[in-house]
Amino acid sequence: MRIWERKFRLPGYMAGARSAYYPVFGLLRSDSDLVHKIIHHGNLLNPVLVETAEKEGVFVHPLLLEGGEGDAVYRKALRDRRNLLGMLLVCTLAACLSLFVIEEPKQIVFTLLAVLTAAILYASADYRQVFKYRERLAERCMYYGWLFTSSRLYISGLFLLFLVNGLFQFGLSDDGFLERFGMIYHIASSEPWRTVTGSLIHSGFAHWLTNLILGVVIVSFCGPSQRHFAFPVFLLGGIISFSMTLAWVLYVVPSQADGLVGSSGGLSALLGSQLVLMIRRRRSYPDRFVLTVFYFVAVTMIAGGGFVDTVSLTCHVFGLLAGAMMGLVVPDYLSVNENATPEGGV
Amino acid sequence: MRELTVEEMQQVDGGLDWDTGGLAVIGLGLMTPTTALFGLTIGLSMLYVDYKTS
Repeated sequence: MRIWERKFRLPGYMAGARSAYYPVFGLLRSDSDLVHKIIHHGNLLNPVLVETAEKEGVFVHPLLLEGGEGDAVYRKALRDRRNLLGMLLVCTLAACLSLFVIEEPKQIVFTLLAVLTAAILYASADYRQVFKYRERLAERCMYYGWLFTSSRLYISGLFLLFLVNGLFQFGLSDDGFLERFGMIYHIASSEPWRTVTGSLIHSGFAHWLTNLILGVVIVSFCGPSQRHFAFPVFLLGGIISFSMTLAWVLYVVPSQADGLVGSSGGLSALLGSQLVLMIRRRRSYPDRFVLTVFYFVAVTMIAGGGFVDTVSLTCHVFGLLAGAMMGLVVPDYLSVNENATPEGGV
Repeated sequence: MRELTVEEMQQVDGGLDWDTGGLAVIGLGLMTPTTALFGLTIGLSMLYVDYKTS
């Protein structure tokens, strides 16, 4: 038995019109029209649970609704995935054609092509391995439904952390912030605290915003699985990846730049830890969900490192490896005793 | 301990710009058509900022 296989009952629910519940926002809407819209026009990743027609106050992912409602969601999911694949192929073709039009193809076009290729490989493998088998997709949607109800704390925590360091860096500090707190290569050996501060600050607003968006996606599924370990893995993974990168730059391949900043080392560590956890305890996770995690790793590596600079890529790889080591000791919280009922579960 | 001056600090590794950041966001959104549109909106906005500022 896995913790996410139970249906969700909203505590203190008052019966009325059929309801939709957005757990991440704590929003309950009693509106039959909205429920109809979610079933017939929704998408699998819309973080909403729908009240079952059979049992008042019990909420499930829309794909798990019984009878024709679940069938409608499944048909729409298949159609959506085929549309996504078509859209990806058109975009890839356009990006390839642009290589002939642009005289000096920019790095950005190659990065885009690499991201699109990874997306096509992932979407087609996932379609053949999961979407075509309704029971596998239902299992994954049950897991998504549980993530919707469990990820709020972790997403809020990440927002708070980024808000504080963003406010500190962009609102309250002057231009010398990076020099004071970044991991500057030639002085970091004598000031090791810079591996901590450097792994929490960013080079600019674009870097901060991108890592915040990446972070929200990553903690939404790594947080509920790793629980108390999620923040230590993020923090420690960032510090280890920065320390290893410092050694790499000082003793193996020197960098053209003066220092290193960014929380993506810690985010890579969360992904590495999650991958190892999923390999160790395969039965605790939905079948083939590892494909999705691999896709996120690929996007993080390609866009966040592969075509930016080799030091960034090195830092991400060290973060991934540090996280993988920590993943060996992170407990599996998802398998539960048959007799134990978690809060909100029925 | 010696702090670097702004003139000495030329560049840092790890810093995503608006363009690569925009692509990362677009890539993350490529899960369903709806999330793809959402990711494209944010990602293309970031690419536009890059175009306007470079």
